[in-house]
Amino acid sequence: MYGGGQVFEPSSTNNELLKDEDPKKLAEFEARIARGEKIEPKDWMPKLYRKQLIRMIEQHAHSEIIGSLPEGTWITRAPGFKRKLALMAKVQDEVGHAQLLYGAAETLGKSREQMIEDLITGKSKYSNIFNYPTFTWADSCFISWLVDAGAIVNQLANARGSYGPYCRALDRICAEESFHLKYGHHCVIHLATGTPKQRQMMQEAVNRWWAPMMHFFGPSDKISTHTEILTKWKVKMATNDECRQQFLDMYVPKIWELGLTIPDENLKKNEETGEWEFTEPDWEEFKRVINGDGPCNKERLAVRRTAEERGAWVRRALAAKTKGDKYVAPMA
Amino acid sequence: MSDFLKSLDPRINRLSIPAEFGSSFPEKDEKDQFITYEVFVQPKENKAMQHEGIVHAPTEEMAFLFAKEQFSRRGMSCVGIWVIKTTAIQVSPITENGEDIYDYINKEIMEGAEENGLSTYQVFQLAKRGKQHSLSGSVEANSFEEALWNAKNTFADDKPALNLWIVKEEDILKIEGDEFADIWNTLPDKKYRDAMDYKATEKIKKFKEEQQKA
Amino acid sequence: MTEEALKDLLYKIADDQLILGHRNSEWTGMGPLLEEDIAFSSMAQDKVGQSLAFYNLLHQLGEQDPDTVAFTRNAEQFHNCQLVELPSGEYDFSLIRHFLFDHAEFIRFQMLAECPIEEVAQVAKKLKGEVKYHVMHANTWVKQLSNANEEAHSKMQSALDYALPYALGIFEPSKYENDFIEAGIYAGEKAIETQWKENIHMVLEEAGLKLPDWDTLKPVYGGRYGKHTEYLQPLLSEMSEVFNEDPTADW
Ligand SMILES: [Fe+2]
Ligand SMILES: [Fe+2]
Ligand SMILES: [Fe+2]
Repeated sequence: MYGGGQVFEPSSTNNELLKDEDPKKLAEFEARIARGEKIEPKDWMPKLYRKQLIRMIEQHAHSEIIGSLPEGTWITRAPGFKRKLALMAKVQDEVGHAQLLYGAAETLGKSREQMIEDLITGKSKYSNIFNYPTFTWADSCFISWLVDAGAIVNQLANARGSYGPYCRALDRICAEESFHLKYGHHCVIHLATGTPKQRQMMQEAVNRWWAPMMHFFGPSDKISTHTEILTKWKVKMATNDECRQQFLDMYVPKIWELGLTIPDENLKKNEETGEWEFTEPDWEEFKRVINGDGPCNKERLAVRRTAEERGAWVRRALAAKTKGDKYVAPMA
Repeated sequence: MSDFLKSLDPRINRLSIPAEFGSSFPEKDEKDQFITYEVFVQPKENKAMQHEGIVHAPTEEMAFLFAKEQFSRRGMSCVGIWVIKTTAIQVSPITENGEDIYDYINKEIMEGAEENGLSTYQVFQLAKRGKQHSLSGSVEANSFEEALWNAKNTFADDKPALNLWIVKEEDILKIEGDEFADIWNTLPDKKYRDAMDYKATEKIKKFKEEQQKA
Repeated sequence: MTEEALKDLLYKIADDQLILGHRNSEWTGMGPLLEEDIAFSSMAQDKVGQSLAFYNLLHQLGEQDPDTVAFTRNAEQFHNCQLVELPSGEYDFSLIRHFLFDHAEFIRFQMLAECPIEEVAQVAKKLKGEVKYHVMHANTWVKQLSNANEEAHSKMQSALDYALPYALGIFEPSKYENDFIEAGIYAGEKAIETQWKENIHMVLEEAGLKLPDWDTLKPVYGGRYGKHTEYLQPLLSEMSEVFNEDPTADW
């Protein structure tokens, strides 16, 4: 899963990178994208395109692997067989998504191990929302349904992008996300329509998660940096505001129909403009958390590092079996 | 006060992770990066073997073990998986949509080819940019170049092929056939992995009716 | 053969699978490498799914529904062997346990696939394929790691030495061994154990791991009769923490 708010390079370096591209090749490249055709790994591509795609796909992959932790918190406690099996499969899928996405990013020339190193050394970011804790079972249900719903809005948009390997990975991922979404909704429905205690548990989870959910799509496009060229190259397929609006439009009514309230009294659809209005999210808090000062940043990285350390002897041993074969990037 | 990280996740509490860790982390061993294997899956008897993605693994047996769960744990059936080391695959240039790579292949490509004796080569074609390569079939040849030429004579038709992958038979690990059929036979029972298994409209309807009464 | 005997058999199979599946699921998201994380999670799911199939058979025999049976009993009501309840430990132990257990289970399912009780035979026949992959996975891993380098070899050998007495506990005879054999349900625990020793011996030899003289090992029994280590009750309490907040609720 993944949110907006990708960290793109500031535009001065962008210009730097674009300056010495061959204009003829660049024109052909842009014409292919304009025709709606996909770029494949062996095609010529501008350095900036490569760089921003690596950054974006890598962050997406990190978000999947880190995203497996908040829901994984409840993996040993899921109530009943149906939930137990589903949550195991759901968390497994997120790990699988990371595997697929790392593979797509690798086709652009960065090895998976390099990316994982950048994650655990804090050099590279992941979706901010996973820096929040899952206090109860209901929190994990909120994520499965609504954080994944937000991710799907993003991923469906990106699946129409220009880079073949990323689109293929996203097609697979979106197919699995439909299970996550239905499973999550099913869980929330059961809590919201269940006993008073279950209902309260669910309402409290909505109260806790609403602000991070609004942050999930990233700052308003009005205040985020210009990404025109990335839009033209079909790297960035929808603006943060478009994704947020689409999410609200699809899911607020579904939350309300379960008799749950959303902790924002200004939230309503403006029937004239068709746009949702809401209290401006606290972007200072968003920045603080993304820069490391959230409730779980430390834990998430510590756990990822611990997993790496505990697995190191396994990888060392297996590597001894590879008989000098050299790593090459995946083909497609 | 404990010296260990306190988590909401009981699994993590059992790991006794130090509450404080330094900001430096030893660089990952370069060797951690296993080599790449391309994975092909045949979902049904009458469907073509298709490229699904990659796994990193130290050996081809392990590549298969990984490929099975990453690429065939969904769907109603699977009849076989091939794994091939990426470096064992010979790749043609890629054309634009609508153009046929076979139009660029002529007899001259065999001049100076390194001949290795007659063997079987499997040929995968890409029908459109953004899609996946799928298996066309095999040809007999003395070299990759001859395989390419023979592929043109065997598989070229009015539907363009944009890109070709050619692999020697001996470089493929094939897990398929009667010997392995049963390792996939519970796939249809894994309903809990399927969106179809989570219908709850009745529950919402009932809830709304009760709300209205109240 | 009495129904009580059959239930005893089905319970121990189901409890083993549930507890081991639960333990192995702890690795999901924390495995030693991404692809193995995914593979090991699938096998944990298979185990929990297998236990569900056997609890369903028990339900058909008049026992309570699977959720109640799995999520509300206490440790002394569980019939799993102690091997499966031990903490997951490091990957060496988790792998060795998976190797030892699934070899036994594969033989068990092969036998039960021929069982005259149609419902049991059907389930066993179907699940056998899953377990076949588990065994392929376990064999490959045990061989690859143990042969790789000194560090891995010694870890795998220690994990094996530690696990073996518990693994022999898989075959703790039940009160009904003779009934099963006479009724042709399956050939009994002794028979599985003998075959198992042969099968694992072949793999371990290739792996370069040493098996001790079987006579020097004291099997850890008790699990089949409700005697467990200190680890089972906390596992069960954790597993049913949410469920027991309101066992009558629909989660
Ligand atoms: Fe997700
Ligand atoms: Fe995901
Ligand atoms: Fe998801």
